Amino acid sequence: MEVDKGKGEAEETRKVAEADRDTVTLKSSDGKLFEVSKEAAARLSTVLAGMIAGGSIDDNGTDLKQIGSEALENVVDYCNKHANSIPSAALISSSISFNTAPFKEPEEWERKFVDRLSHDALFDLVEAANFLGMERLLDVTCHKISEMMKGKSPDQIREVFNIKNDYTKEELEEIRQELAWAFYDD
Amino acid sequence: MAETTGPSWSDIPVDLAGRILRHLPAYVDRLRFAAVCPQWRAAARLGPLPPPLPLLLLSDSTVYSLPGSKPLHLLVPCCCTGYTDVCGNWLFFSGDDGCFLRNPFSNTTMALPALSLDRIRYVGDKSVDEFYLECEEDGRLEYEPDRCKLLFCSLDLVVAIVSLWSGRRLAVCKPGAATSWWYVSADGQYSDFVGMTFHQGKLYALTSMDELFAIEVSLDHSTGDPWVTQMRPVINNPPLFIPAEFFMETKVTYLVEARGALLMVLRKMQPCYAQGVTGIAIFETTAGVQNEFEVFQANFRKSQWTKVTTLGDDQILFLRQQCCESVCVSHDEVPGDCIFFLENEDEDRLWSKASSSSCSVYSMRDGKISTPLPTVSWKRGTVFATWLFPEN
Repeated sequence: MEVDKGKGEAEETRKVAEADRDTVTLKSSDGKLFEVSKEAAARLSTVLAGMIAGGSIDDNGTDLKQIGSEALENVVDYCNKHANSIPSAALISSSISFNTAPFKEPEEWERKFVDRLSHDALFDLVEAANFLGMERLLDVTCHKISEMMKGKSPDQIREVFNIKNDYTKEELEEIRQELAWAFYDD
Repeated sequence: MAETTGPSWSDIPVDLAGRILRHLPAYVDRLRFAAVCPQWRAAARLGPLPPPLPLLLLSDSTVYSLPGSKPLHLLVPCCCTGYTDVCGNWLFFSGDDGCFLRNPFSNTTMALPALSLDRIRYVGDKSVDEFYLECEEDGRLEYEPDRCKLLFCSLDLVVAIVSLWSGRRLAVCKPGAATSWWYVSADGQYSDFVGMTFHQGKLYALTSMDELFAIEVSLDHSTGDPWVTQMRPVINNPPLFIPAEFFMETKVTYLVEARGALLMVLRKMQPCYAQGVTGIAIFETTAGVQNEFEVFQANFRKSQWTKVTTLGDDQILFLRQQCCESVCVSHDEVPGDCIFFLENEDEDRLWSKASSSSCSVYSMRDGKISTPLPTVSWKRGTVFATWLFPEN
């Protein structure tokens, strides 16, 4: 919780001269403030990079109304961990080509980072990463979600993700045809 | 804090669902994903997605969806059981009531004329082939076509390499009726064809001497019957590799288009000798065959094969006679720059007495061969294995 600054602390941070600041303050939908390394935020999130470059960062806490405090805490946590774990030279090249570069396996810490999350927290995090344009975090979270599906039948997947089967009869028949390829030989 | 119901996974935004799908390279996982709920189904249909990995299909209807090695059972096994050849995603069946092709994905079938002398017509000026034609008329020397290789081109054209007494020749036919004909080109010099493929929309055929021909096929306006109008040599240098028969060496070549280039894969095979075993018994008892691969790109400007050392980090070649394809991978599951092939697929090798066959992968990076599906093998000779390349 060291990143979760109280209101008073945030006020104090504001006093630091604009140019010298190396962090930005983000505000969750439920009003909590989080501080994140400016460099990491700009590098990992296209949306935050745009806001920083465009000067639309609010020192009182940039409003991210779409992101709850739990998800934002994970985002900030991820950014800070990322900033500490990888030499920046490697990241600069990877950030340039993030759209075309093939996915690289999650690193050990990234794996642990998503493994400890509940299903709900994972869901919120993937949406937050999507909203903030965080390619790497999206890859890592989507990879984790795909891992939870591999080799499972549709029924098992529904159970894992708590999804109701609300297909119509006709649709189910069509799917059954498609899945002619997908039945296990027991 | 009063959260009683969590977020609904079925409502995950379409673009996120697409991202998750990208991490599912196995075709079967993608089908299952799409079967979970209507929203996911819609997302799976939106694409664009990198192609899934192919399926390994055995003629007893067992399917493996790479990279998985769990045997899958088909709901409609009859649509795949017992095929004897394959061209692209079309399985070839031959029986008493004629030949046909079946696409197991769409379950559509297409009749073909039987690959027998009764349904073969020679076309051309006969200059070189007079001798063979006379033989055929005598009914003495030309025997029923042996193993063939098929290439499905369009609803108007199927090309085959048929093994006749006079060599492995190109035959073309219009699919759709058992009463149509195979037109075998009797023109030009003797050419022993071993492979064919499309490259930039044009048909190319490879000979056993590593020569490359550009093949022109025309359709008769009135009947729709196809015939080979031209076979133009594109590369006709001496062969790149001549197997040392004394050492029981053999080679198989494959023609495949990958990333806009026309590639020839040269596979050298040599039996491994077991220590302490002598004589011909070695070959009976030794299942091991040493495989070596080299890849060449057709250089049309210089009319030669140019050796390439990499396929690209995101390319995988899947080899099987007449069913080669390159697949682009953009996932971490399977490393690229490698060649998937089937062990002991060629029945012609006298020394290859191995009773079982399996799937292996050759890495272009380090030249090492590994077994991607270690638990998967099948009975050689009786079970016929092939790749199928599902579309998204």
